[in-house]
Amino acid sequence: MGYESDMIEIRHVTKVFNKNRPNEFTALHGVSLDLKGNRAIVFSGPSGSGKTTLLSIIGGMAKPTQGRIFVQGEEISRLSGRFLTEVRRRTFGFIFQQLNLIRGMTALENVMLPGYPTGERRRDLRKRAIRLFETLNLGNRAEAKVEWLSGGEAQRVAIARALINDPSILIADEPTAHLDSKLSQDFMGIMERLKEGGKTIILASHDPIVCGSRIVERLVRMRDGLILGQEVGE
Amino acid sequence: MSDTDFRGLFGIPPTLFTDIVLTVRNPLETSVVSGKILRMLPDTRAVLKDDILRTYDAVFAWRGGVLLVIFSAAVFAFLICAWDKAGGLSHEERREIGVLRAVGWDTSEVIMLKVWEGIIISLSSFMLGIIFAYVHVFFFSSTIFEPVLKGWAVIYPSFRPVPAVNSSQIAAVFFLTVVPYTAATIIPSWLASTIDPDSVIRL
Repeated sequence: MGYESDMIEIRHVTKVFNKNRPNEFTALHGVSLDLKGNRAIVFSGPSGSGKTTLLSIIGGMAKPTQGRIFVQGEEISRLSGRFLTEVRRRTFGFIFQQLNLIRGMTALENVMLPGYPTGERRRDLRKRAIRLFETLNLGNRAEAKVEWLSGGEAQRVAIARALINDPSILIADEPTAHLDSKLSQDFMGIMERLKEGGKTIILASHDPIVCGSRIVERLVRMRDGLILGQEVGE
Repeated sequence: MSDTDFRGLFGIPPTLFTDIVLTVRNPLETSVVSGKILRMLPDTRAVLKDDILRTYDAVFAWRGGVLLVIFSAAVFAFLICAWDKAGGLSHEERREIGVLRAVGWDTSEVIMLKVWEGIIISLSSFMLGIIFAYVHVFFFSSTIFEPVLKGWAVIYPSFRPVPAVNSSQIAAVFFLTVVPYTAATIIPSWLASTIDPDSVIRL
């Protein structure tokens, strides 16, 4: 269910890539932000604005060069790799821009992947994955190889994979970049249902369908690694 | 059976010889002695040990060469596979590891997966190779290598290999193939799984 206090606290986060090398690049410049639980937040901005980097850091996929990140009161920016993995596993679900489904495997196998390290019995995991397929209207595509799925189906498989461990926070990077308007609206419909189910949705996008969606309660505008401004909805 | 009994049994006169082996104390004198024998007994044929060795070389050396070429090709193919694995992961493999890390797999879990993957691939190839070799040799009388193995000296006896498994040879092949291949898969997987999943996915 929702986490009413500040679910994510971002404090003066800076991220430098290729530090002390000729191609050093600062993707984030001291970003600070508080995000509440059970909300839909969108980071918007042009390519290179730092929104993907910020999503990665929030989700524990990358560490900030400076600054601190708190998730549900726990500081994750100083956790070692193993504990960070544990936080990522139980707290976050990720939908990548390129979807990153593993080719050669079926849709069902892809969805079950995040569940294997939890130690859950394979039979239970499979049941849960099939339930997700039914919820997302993918019931007949479970055994299909992912390379044979349409764009919309692959997107929903990626959503199912993100949800298999029942995370409280769903992170999606440019989720509608490869979808047409209809599929983009369908995607936002699914996000709305998930939010109603208590999930916190964090998206990075510059798609007007995403940014203008009625479920978005907060739009954070970014440019050159800085937060330019925010629009807070109802 | 003694020489006398044999001659008595087959009616061979004591002065008739078909094959005579002559040892010459000084090896440098063999061709001279051979020449003298031919002059004294023109209806005989003198064969020197060196001639026999040359004949065997001529008959068998190329067969050994064929086997060596086949074996070398197999070894090189294996080395290329192992080197390719040890040299680094492909873009697709790195992306897969990044995805696994991003969705909550720990470094040790990724490495275990890769170890098992390497073991399954190399062990199943090893087992298939052993089974194929056994079937080929003992069920089909080594059809491919038969001409090489038999040679001209054993044309008349039947060629039927007796089933036998040499465990030390199998162990040697196992440790020279399965173990190095599995080891070759671990290091690049470990290197890929220890970096931030974010940077792997951005590749």
